[in-house]
Formats: sequence, structure tokens, C-alpha cells
Amino acid sequence: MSRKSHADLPSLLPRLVAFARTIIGDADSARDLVQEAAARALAARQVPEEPRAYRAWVFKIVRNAAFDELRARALRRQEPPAPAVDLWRYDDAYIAKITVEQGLAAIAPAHREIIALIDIGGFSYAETAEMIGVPIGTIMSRIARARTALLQAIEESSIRPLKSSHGH
Amino acid sequence: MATERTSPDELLLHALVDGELSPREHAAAASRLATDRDFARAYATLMRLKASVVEGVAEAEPIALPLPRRRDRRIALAGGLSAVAVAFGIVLAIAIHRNPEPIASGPELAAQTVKLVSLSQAAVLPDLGPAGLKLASTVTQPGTKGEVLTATYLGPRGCRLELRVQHAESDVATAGGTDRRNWRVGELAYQLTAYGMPPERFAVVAAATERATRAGTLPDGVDRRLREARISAPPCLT
Repeated sequence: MSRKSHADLPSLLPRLVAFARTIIGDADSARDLVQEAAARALAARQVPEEPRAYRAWVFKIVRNAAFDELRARALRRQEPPAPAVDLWRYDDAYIAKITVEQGLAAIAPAHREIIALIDIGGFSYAETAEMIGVPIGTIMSRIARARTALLQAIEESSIRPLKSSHGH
Repeated sequence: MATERTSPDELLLHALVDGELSPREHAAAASRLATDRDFARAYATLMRLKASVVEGVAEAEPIALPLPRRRDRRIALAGGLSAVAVAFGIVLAIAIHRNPEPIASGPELAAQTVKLVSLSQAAVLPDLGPAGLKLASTVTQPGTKGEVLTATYLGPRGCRLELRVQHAESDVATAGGTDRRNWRVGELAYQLTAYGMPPERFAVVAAATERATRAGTLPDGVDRRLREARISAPPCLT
């Protein structure tokens, strides 16, 4: 393992945490999970040198760890902890953020995964297909279904961004 | 998972939003956006949804990681040392990157276009907030003819841009970076250098930056293009 191999890791950490958080649902567990995944990556004997391959490799470690965590939770039947809420941050942008988070929490893990890989991880359809091990056409239909499911979940949620009331 | 088929139009829309279309397909989709209101409405919805996921989930995360609460015994020692090394690396990178005596930094600069009067002619550092890039630091160094100002813009997904401003007759540094654009405004030479930013996105950002340095602010209509270039582009690789 060369030092240069892990040069991209610090800049990837925020996205890895966001990716893990999208899949498993809460920020604290996501940080722990990414920290352990980063330790595994740093301890690995064979590390991809090419930046894109390295990024995919690290995301795959986090992805596997996240699904292990989901399986463990299913065995423990543990619900993800509710996110901490600051009542005084309820502006439009914050509510939009909550709406998306709740929508993501409501859809299937496979849907969350594909959205997380493409929107948060920033992987192309081809990279995502290679990572998951399915044809690129499957990725195209999966991301379409996942976003439709997310839109439906948002539509069905009771939270709506507040509209400012001018002139009333 | 649902088994119903996804329509070709839906697949096209998602591919458009994700920047997966070829130039020819993109041009065809763009012309349809201009004529098909339903198609345009669906596109706007998907762009908004993608932006909400990217901004709401990804950008709110802090960079530093706390110490673990739960550890795998087999990797506890290696994990602890590695995490410390990673955290140290982050702190060191931030420390190296920042100017010890910045002219200005952070929100004050990001909030508005700034004109610096320390150079022979006012240098303009545009607000690249719509592109998801925040002005993180400014450094002035002596050049062959007067000072050289280097402004560093950082994005949340690993993107870094450096805008170098100096007297037009000074020697222009050309080392480093993955993409570069040079231009002159009056007596000043500007050089914008990208580190890992996808070329298509850099082209949009660089064009907007050049126009802003000429006009003093981002021209009307550029914000939307910058946002779209950011949302549809992959993260930067360094």
C-alpha cells in the first residue's frame, strides 16, 4: 500500500457519510460506519491506484457495511433513532430538507441505494452498474423507479414547505 | 420492487438530469424542453428533486468525523490510528490551504462580489455560490511585477478552483491543475485553474467567471446554468 493510494480519502469522507446516512437513516451511525470503513480501507493490502477505481472501491466498502448494518438492525428489530430536531430552524429550506430525508427513509433500501450512489456518490450509470453487478439498462430503470418512489413518498408525507404569506 | 415498465420518456428525463446523454441526445432533449411543457415540467421536478437530495443530504455533513462509539475489536487499533491519521490529514490540509493572514474569507466574500484595491487595478473575485463553490481563502504573494492574488474556491464534493490575478505583464504560472483558462481584463491577467473538476462543468464555470470579472458581477441568467452544471456533474477527482 502506498501513501498516495489514500490521498483522496479525506475529500471523500463527507460524501461517504452522506451516502451511508441515506442508506441506514441516521447520521451518528453513518459516521461510525464510515469511520470503521475508512479504517478497513487504510488497513487493506491491495488498494486501487486509479482515482475513479479508488472512489468506487471505498464506496463499495461503505455500501457493504451499510447493508450489514441494515441486516443487523433487522435481526435486532431496531428502529433507526429519530433525527435530532431543532424547532427553531423550520424555514422553507429546512423543511424541504426534512421532507427529502423522510421521503428517503420511507422508500425501499434498494431505492435509497441507487439514489445515494448516483446523486450523492456522483457515480455514472456505468460505474453504478459495475458496482452493483447489473446491466446499465437496469440502472436506468431502477433510478427512474427510485425517484418516482421518492416523489410519491414526499407527496404522501404530511410535511409541506411553508409558503410565505405576503399581503394577508 | 415494482414490475411496471418505465416509459422511454421517463428514462430519457432521468438520463438528462443525470448528465448521461450524448451531445446529440442532449441537444434533442433540449429542443424538446423548449416545446413540450409537460416534458419541461417533469424535467424541472426531477432537477429540483436531485438538487434537494444533493444539497439537503450531502452538503450538510461536516467534514470531521467524531471518535467511534462502537468498534470492531479486530480493527480497533488500526482503526483508531487510521482515523487519527485521517483526521490529522484533514486538519493539516485545511491549515495548509488557508492563508495565515487572509484579506477576507468565508461568508463575507462568498456573499457578494469583492473588489480588491491592493492590485494596480481592482481585481474582481466573483461569487461562485450558484456553482456550489465558496471562496475559502485569498493569498497575496510578490510577483515579477507587483502582487499576485490567488483566491481558492472550494466545493462540497471535492472540487477546488484557484483564481490567480496579477499584472498582465507578469509571468503567468502554469503549473498544476487539470484544466485552465486565461484571460485579460485591462491591465490584469486572470488565470482560473481547476483541480479534478469535470471539463464540461469547468467550461461553464470558467465562462461565467470570466464574464463576471469583465462585468463586475455574474450576468443575468448565469446562475441557473451554474446550478445545472453542478447538479448534473459528477464529483471532482483530485
